Amino acid sequence: MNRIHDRIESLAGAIALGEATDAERLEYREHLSSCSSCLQSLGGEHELERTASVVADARESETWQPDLGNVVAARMRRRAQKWQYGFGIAGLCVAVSLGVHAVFATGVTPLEMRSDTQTFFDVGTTRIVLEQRGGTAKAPAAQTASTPQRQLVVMHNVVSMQRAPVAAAARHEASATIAEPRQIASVTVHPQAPAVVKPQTSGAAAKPLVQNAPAWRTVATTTLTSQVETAPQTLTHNAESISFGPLRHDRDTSVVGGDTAINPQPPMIAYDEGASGTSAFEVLVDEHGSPTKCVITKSSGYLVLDNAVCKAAMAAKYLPKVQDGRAVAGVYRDAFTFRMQDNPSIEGIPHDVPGAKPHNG
Amino acid sequence: MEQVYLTATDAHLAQARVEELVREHQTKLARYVRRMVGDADIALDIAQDVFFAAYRTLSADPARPLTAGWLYKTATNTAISHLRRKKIVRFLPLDRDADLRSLRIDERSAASIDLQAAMSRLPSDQAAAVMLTSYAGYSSQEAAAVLGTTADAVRQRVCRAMRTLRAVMADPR
Repeated sequence: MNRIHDRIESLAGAIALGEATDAERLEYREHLSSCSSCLQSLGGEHELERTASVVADARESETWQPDLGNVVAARMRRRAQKWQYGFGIAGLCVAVSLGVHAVFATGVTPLEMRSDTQTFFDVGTTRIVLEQRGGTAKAPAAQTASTPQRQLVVMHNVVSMQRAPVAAAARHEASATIAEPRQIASVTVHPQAPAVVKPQTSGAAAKPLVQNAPAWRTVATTTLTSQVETAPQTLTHNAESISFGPLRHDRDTSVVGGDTAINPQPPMIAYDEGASGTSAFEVLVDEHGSPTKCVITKSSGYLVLDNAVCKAAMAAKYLPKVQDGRAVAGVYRDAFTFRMQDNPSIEGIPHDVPGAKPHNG
Repeated sequence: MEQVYLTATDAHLAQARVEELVREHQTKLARYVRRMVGDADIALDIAQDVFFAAYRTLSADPARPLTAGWLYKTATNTAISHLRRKKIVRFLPLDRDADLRSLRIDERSAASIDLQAAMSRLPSDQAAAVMLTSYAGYSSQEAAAVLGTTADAVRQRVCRAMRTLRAVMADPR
């Protein structure tokens, strides 16, 4: 029954819309003749058409003429501008990202395979042996309250030079040097420890020229510098760079203000990347004591560390080499080791205590 | 999958096509939406959104053919969503004269008042069916495509809407 009424409603709708065929009109007419309820609720064909005409009349009577052109055009323009801004900002972000990545890529990519255990290397006919002495780490006072999570330790190496020996013998000799490093008076260049005094003019000829024997004093045998990661720019160290051994003439100049005058300060990127390694360098010093050229003779593997070393070396003043009473150009050689560690107490490096005895003194 | 990138030429092309659609269909579309929602201001907002949706569609796919049927389908769905979202309770006011004063001049004809009174009583599917066919001039087959139903269902909805409209016209108030 419902299906029949659905059919009749469909026919009535078709008649109201003017879509009904003659057969459909006849079917509707025949159903109404036998169904009074449909005739009462739906009405005949003319009634349907008259009702439908009301909709058409209402449509024809309307005079409303809205104008949406300007509003829609303005919205479209705004959206187009947003797209332009979006593309501009996206392009800027891509450019900045590429720039940052390029700096990182060229700044910290290891140049070569490095070995932290390597203690000597050859430069021409000269073999340079590095001895890293265990020393004292100077921890800032603030670290006692909160231990830093990461520190960069700068170790100033003891450098010795050897003429190129046979490889096996050289290794043996190098290890022997490391086992018992000799320390000579040349380390007494610490500015705070004037050990040599002038001879008195009272005629006491037998009085020695040097007091407080031994005439040198070691402040911190090795150079260790610890600095909290967040403030690398205040990096300081009490380094003493020691050139010792029979070939001391390989290093024929010295730094004004002591070896602590060379103070490499790696940039923050070195901390972030955990860069470590040993940078050995040579500085050509002219007859006036000014550095003219810095050459990295052994790279640490990181450009940022090598650059920091050379930058510090070029910023220092040197005492020129004296030959036959005249100042001549010379060469200054030294090396720095950078080691990243999580805590200064790790790796057996004790904290500095005032008055601590030098490790090798 | 082929990617379509919007170039400046495409953006201008889309804008030009939408401006043409606006010129051609804005009046009929706005009047149709006004009958659906019963408010001219809301109808303007919805019609504006419909044309802007057309612009976004053409921006994403400049080659897409946009017909008037797409506009009416979008307008119908938007109007129905608006009625449902606002949960508008539509009823016939007791005082027809007061309601008459709130109408625009072109809405004050007897046929227009009867139609709007019937529209306020109709469910949204019946209102959309009768508006698309009797008002916008689409066949039941075309209206079925717009509404996503069958032609028979559209005719049935039109029949029921006509029954309501006949009851409104027979109302002495």
